Order: sequence, then structure tokens, then C-alpha cells
Amino acid sequence: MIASIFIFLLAVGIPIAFVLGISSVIYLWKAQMLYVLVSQRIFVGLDNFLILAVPLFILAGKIMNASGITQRLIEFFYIIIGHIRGGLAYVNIIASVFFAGITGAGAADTAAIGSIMIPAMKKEGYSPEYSGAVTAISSTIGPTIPPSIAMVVYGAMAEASIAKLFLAGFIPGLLLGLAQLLVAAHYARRQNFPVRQKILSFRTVSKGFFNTILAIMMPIILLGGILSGIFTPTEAAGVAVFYALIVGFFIYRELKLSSFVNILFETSVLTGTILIILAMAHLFGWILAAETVPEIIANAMTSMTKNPIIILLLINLLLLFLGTIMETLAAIILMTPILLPLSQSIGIDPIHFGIIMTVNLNIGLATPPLGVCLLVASPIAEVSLEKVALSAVPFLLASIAVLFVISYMPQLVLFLPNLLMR
Amino acid sequence: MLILNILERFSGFLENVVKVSIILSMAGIVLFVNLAVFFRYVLSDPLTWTTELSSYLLVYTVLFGASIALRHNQFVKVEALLNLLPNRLKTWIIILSQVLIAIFLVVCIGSPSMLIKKAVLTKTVSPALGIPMANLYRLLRIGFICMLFFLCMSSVKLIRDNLISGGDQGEAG
Repeated sequence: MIASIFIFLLAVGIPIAFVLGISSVIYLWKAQMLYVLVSQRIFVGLDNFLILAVPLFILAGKIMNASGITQRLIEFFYIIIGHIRGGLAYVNIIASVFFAGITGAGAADTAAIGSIMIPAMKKEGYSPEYSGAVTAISSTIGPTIPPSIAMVVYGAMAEASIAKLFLAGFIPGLLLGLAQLLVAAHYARRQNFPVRQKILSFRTVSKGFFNTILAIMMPIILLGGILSGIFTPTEAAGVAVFYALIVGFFIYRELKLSSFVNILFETSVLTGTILIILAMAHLFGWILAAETVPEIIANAMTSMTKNPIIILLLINLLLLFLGTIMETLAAIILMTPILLPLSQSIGIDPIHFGIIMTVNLNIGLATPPLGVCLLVASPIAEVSLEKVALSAVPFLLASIAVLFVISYMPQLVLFLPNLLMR
Repeated sequence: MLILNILERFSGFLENVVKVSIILSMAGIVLFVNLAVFFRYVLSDPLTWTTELSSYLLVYTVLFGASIALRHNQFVKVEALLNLLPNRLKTWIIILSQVLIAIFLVVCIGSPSMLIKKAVLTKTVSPALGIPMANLYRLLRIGFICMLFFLCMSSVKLIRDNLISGGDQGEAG
């Protein structure tokens, strides 16, 4: 009953936060329970020091963006690998991997890197749809590499260690980057992409390196701080903002006070739209638990098959589908309480499952109909969404291949957290 | 129409007030989180109130940030199906869903009553800062009132743009 109301409300385009809220209120009304629960659960859901990391990481990413860090990152990789055949595509992917260490949000990456790389690629003779596709798909790596907003949200929902999740993301993130580089290399050879002649000088390389080291240092400082116990993940996010401000105002000197104020405003509104979903999910989650919905779904699944390989496959397919129609963070908030117990019942580690969810749902950022990275990339490339989406298919398949590798090889994911955290 | 104009002006004014307040609140969060690290690690003299204050500022930012998002229709939703419908039908569905959201927000506004009453009776205060909990619950209520107001304003605008001025031009929602 509540499930059909939920799906109906979602389908008619009611914002997800209110879908959760309205379904909950209908349940409370039918069960003749007190509405006081509504405000109580919402307040408790928001009054949580852990989720404070979400706006802070968004803020840090936006400040770094406005500070011209992207430009420097791309220039550096352009100097080093721009002269290889198809090099600009590699630059695009590798810059995304490093840029990921700053924002942890896919669409921001597409906008920042795309606005520089897509015109540059088009100028050197790449087709606009290929340029757009490479940018969009490489942006989906971002949220897997720490710091990651998606992992903070998952950690808050699953009560899992955010430090462990961050560590666990490294290898899958690099694998995704590698898989996409391989696809790009295949294209470069087949399509005979242009080669740029340029002689590298030590001076330009070292200057470029110095310019980018500040960006590359960020995830290292954060993880180092968290792992050594200097600060909590939330405080790490706060320190990241501080670091970004220092770099923006005093080192690169490209950040203006007015744009900083604007960034504060944008971040507040974005935080409102994301965390209100989390607050409502706190209410809805209480009802799910009261109705033992996760158990019912888990039992239904396990009654069909007891084979963990098939269950994991089904979970992955479900998430891939949800990722195409739903915003990543919303999907994590919605599905974690339902799927986590199921995954645990077949013996999947919660950290491992968090990485599967993050990688999986982020693939949807580059698929229609709701692929934010595609939506951002196609106007920059000045070509239709369909064409970019079509060009992205081989890269998507590569990402999905990596998803299945990390799904069935937990060692790859858990190696770093097990090594560095006990 | 005069009333609508006054309301529109008021909502512009309210939006500016909310805008300034969430900017300050966000800046406050950054400041207090960093202060906490600085005092604990550099001065070895941990502050007890920073965690609590920044969490409450977050509650404020989310409630009022969400109301601005409601005014400008920036909420996350699944629109794939809705976009297949003809414009006029789509507008009607959006208006109906806004009515549903409005009812929900009314429930939210009424819902803290018992919490407030209890907190006033027992004089509960927050652990570190000693803020009366009743005030925090009242803040929750004010946040929902603000959301309801902006929602109504955006519904009025939607009706005016799409149904009264006639024609299917304009992007609904």
C-alpha cells in the first residue's frame, strides 16, 4: 500500500524529499499515530555532526573551482601527455581523476573540466560528441575517489566508518580511470587521432607540477588527518574549506570575496535540497523499520535464490536502473536502509557495499534520461545529448565491467582499509 | 491583483533576508568547525560548544536553504515521466502535487506543538550551549512556515504564467 503511494508520488514528479514525507504522513494517519513523530525524526535527522561534512566538501570543491585550480591541473597534464596520439582524451580523463580529489561531485567536474577541455579537443580535430562523451564519463570517476560526498552520505546512513570508505575508494577509482584510458587508447589508434608536436622542457614541467601539487595535496592532507586521528571526517571537510580558501585567496589569488559569498549561498541552497531528503528519509526509515520492510524484501529475494552471486547481480542491476532515473545522493539515501541488510545477509562487508553503491550509482551520471554529466557536457560540446550519450557507450561498458570486478573481488576494495586501519 | 503584488514584494524581501542569514550561517559553520580543530590541536584546549552550535546552524541552513530551493523549483525529482505529458496536463499535475506538498507542510508546522510544550514544561536545554530546546523546535516550525509561503508563491506564479495568461508557452515547472 505505502509502496504504491510512494511510487505514484515519485512518478508524478513530486520532489523526492516530499515523496518521503507525504508517504510517511499517510502511513501515520492510517496507523493513527501521532504526527509529533514527523518533526521529531526530521530534527534528529538533521542534528547530526557527521552530515555536516556534506556542505563543507561541496563548499571546498566550489572554492577550489573558482580559484582556477582546474586550469592549472589541465595545463600540467597537457604539458606532460598532450603530445601522445589521442593525448587530449587522456588529459581529460587523468585530470578528472585528480580533480576528483577536490570535489567529489560529478557535475561540477564536467562543468569545470569540460569548459576547458571540450573546446580544446574540438580545435585539435576530435568530434564534438567524442569530446563531450569523454568529459562526461570521466567525471563519473570523481565520487569514487576521496573525498566523496556520496560516501559521507552512505556512511551516515549505514553507520559505517567514513575514513574506511574513503580509503576503500582509491583502488576502484583508479581502476575506473584505467579502464577509460584503455578505451580512449583503442579509439586513438583506430581513429588516428592528431598528434601535437612539442618539446618538453624541465622548466615548464616543474612549474606545472608546482602549480598542481596544491590540488593533489588536498586528499593526502585530508586522509592523513583522518587516519592519524587529528580530525574527524567532518572536521577534515572543514579544514578542506580552510585550505581551499588559503589557496584561493593567498596563493593563486584568483578567488574574489564576492564570488566567495556567492559560493556560500549556492552551497547553502544545494545543502538544503540534499539534506532535506536525508531528514525526510530519517522519518521514512523509521516507518520502514517499523513495518520490517527491509526484512520482507530480503526474504523475498533470498526465497527466489540463495546464490549470493545472483543476488549481488540483481542488486547491481536494480541500482544501475535507479541510477539512470535518480540523483545519486537521493538514491543512496533511499536504498541504503533497504539494500544494506540484504547485502549483509549474503555476507557482503558494509564498506564493500558502500563502494559498490557509489561506483554503480555514479555510472548513471552519464546515462540518459537523468545523466547530469551528459546534460552539462552536451551544451558545452554544442551537440545533441543523444549523440554524446551514444559516444559514451564504450566507456560506459568499461565502467560497468569495473563495477562487476569490484563487486565480486572484495579484496580489491578492502585491501587498503584493512592494511591501514585496524 | 494588488494583494498579489504586495505578496510578491514581501516574498522578494523575505528571500533576501533568508539569503543573507543562510550565507552567515554557512560561514559560521566553516568558522566553528575550524576553531574546534585549532583549539584542540594547536592550543590543546578543546572547545565544547562548537560541535553543537555548528550542528544547529546546519539545521537552520537546511530548512531555509530548502525554502529558497522551493521558491526557485530546484528540488531533486524524477521528471522523466512528467516530461512526456502535454504541457497543460503537466501544469495541472504540478499544481495538484503542490497542493499535496502544502498539506504535508501544514502537518509539519503543526507537528512540533507537543515537543515544544514538553520542552517548555521540563525546561529542557541543549547540553553545551544551554539553548532552550523549545526554541529549536520553534525554529523548525518557522522553517516549515517559510517553505509553505514560498511554495504558495511559486504555485501562484505557475497558475498565472500557464493557466490564466493561456497558451501552452512557457516551461511548466
